Amino acid sequence: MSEPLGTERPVVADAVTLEIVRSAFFAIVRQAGRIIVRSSFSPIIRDAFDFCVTIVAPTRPEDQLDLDIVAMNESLAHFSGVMPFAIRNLLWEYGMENLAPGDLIALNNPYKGGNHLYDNAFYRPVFAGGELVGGIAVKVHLMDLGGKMAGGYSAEKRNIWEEGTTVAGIPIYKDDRPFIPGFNVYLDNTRLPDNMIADLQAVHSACAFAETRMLALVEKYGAATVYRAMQYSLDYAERSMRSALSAIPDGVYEGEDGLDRDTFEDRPYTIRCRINKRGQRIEADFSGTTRQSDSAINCPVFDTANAVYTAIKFLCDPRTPNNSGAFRCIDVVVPEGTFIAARPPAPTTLYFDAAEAVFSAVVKALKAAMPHGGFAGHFGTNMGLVITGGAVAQEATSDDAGSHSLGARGPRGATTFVAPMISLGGFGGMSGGDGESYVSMSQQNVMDMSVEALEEDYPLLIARKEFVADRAGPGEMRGGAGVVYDRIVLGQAEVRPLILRVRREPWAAEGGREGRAGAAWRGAPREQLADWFPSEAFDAEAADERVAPIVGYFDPAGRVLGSSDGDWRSTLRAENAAPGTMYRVLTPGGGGWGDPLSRDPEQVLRDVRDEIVTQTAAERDYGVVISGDVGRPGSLAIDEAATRARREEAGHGK
Amino acid sequence: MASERRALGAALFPRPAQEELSVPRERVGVTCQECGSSETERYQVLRVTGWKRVTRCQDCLAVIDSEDAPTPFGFTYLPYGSYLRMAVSDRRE
Repeated sequence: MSEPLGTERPVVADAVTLEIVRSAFFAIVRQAGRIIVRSSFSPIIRDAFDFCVTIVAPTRPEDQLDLDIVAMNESLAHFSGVMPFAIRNLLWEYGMENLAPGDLIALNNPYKGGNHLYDNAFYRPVFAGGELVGGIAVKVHLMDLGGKMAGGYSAEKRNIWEEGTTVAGIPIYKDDRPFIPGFNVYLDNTRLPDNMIADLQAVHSACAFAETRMLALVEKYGAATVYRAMQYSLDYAERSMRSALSAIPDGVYEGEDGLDRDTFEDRPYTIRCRINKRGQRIEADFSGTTRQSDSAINCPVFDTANAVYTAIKFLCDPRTPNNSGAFRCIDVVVPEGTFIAARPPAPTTLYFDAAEAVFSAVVKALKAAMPHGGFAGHFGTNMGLVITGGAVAQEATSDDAGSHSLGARGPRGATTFVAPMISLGGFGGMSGGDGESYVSMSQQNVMDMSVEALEEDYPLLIARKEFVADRAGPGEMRGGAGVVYDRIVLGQAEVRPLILRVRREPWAAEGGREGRAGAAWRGAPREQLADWFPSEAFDAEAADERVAPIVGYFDPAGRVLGSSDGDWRSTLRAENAAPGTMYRVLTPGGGGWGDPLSRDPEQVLRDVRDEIVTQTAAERDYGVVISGDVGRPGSLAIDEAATRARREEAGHGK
Repeated sequence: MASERRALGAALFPRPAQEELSVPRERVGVTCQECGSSETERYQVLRVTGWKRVTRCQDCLAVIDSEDAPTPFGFTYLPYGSYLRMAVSDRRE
């Protein structure tokens, strides 16, 4: 680019121009995000969207700018509120005076930038005419950075050094060329170098593109106008959030949530949240929360801040595009040394479930302030399974399911595979409608990897992925449905259950009922994989003698129960799995909103047709009697007279 | 150097012995200029702009006084790199 690139132009501060530039900021981060999706190799980025792209303001006190996050794309919400801390902390240590055009500087230390060390932040300064006019910052999940366990995901690590290689301020590009020592920090410390190099190049491409677009804005409008537009964008988000907070009654509100256990001790971890809301100010205090763990269930303090920001944004001001201006009026008071504000060297690999429990505690607290707002409980956990091993590069001999025999398929000839299996579940019902089904946790906003992509990349067979009837919490607006996954291991593998939050069922709201609990089972290896292929829909009420409980509350026959009943089983320990072993994960349904007897019978009929509610549950939970055969959906109909009688009997006039 | 550094904070921490932890709040008793309340307390908060020690009215949440942490990492956590950064900055001044 030629100088001076608009750095000398006067400020143009009319509302139309500022709004155009504000919109351009968001267009840039969205377009750059698409480059990452197109160019990265790792399925967790490419398919699950485990990344974010942001625009960072320069430090200009005269424009009230100080490395604020001006715009962020709509991808992983876990990253949105940690980026302001990550970038300020990175640049404070690195030194602004050391930045040069074409740099790309890396940070993954969770205690300096949040999340876990697999989430790597990269900052690229944007210079115009020798002046730092802003920056582009990206965070992406890089699948393996050495450490004790392949792929990173494991609850068994006892400190950050067992998690992998920590980076804080290493350039990987200088003058737009790969800086080999920086690349080597990544490439020499991973078990998956092929993916790593492509993912790093994808980050660089996205940043370079975003820089080009930023410079075009500076050239077209002048730097002074771009600064004013940054200030405008931040103030806009702040005004919008403050205005939304004004609608909440002043008061003190309390909520609680937590995790089931840590790896070495089966004792619950509790989050206590006390929210003080006055006018346009709000403060969340987490005093009374359990201390940090010696296993990897903790999250750094920045994730707790992000969970508070995200919950309040979700509840109060969900439509204004996100940036750090929205968080200016939210303060977090959190005791350091708790599992939601862990300090080094505590491991944070599974930070997401702790952060999600913070989100849930805040949402529960504020529900009391919003009788017709908010939502019922969501399933609130990743219910992860990590399946890893050395793949045998031998293709299966037949595509015929009936004769599908053992013998692992290799992920394109790779010698090591790491398959991170997250599980999606049900969101809570709300006044405006049912909870969504098959969604990721609130702060994740990730996509489930497709069955075809998983089976192509990993020696796995997905035998079942389907909604399960009667797991959604009944309500006038019901919760989202739970989902069951049956995953068969085709080669010798290590399997790590990362299931941290099923003791607590998704809460109900406004007279609805709780979502039904999740659980996991293991099925002993079968010679014939076809034995695992389902012949009918999964029935959580039926016992399956082929599988044994791993995590959840169960009756003696191994059927899942609610949290107040049954025997509790739980483990976070890795286990070896022989080819043909099957792992079943059932995710919780979302909590229901409002009296289920007030639900429109036509909606209950639709749910029965969709096999989200059985005819038995339609009558028991909703007082809606439906005749016909669910195997012939056209035959299903509401029995109006029986429904009226059933609802009157239940004390409901409708 | 080591004792000076330790006075500013630590880089590594043991697991706390106490099962549950709380943020200490000190009652200050100064009068809030915004609402006139004397329910004022001093404690640490994390704002989107970083760690602060604030004196704050508990009735209207107005911040009466705010002190920045010595580094972006707060009042107790001092990574070695930050200590070096402070030393580099001091030399430049």
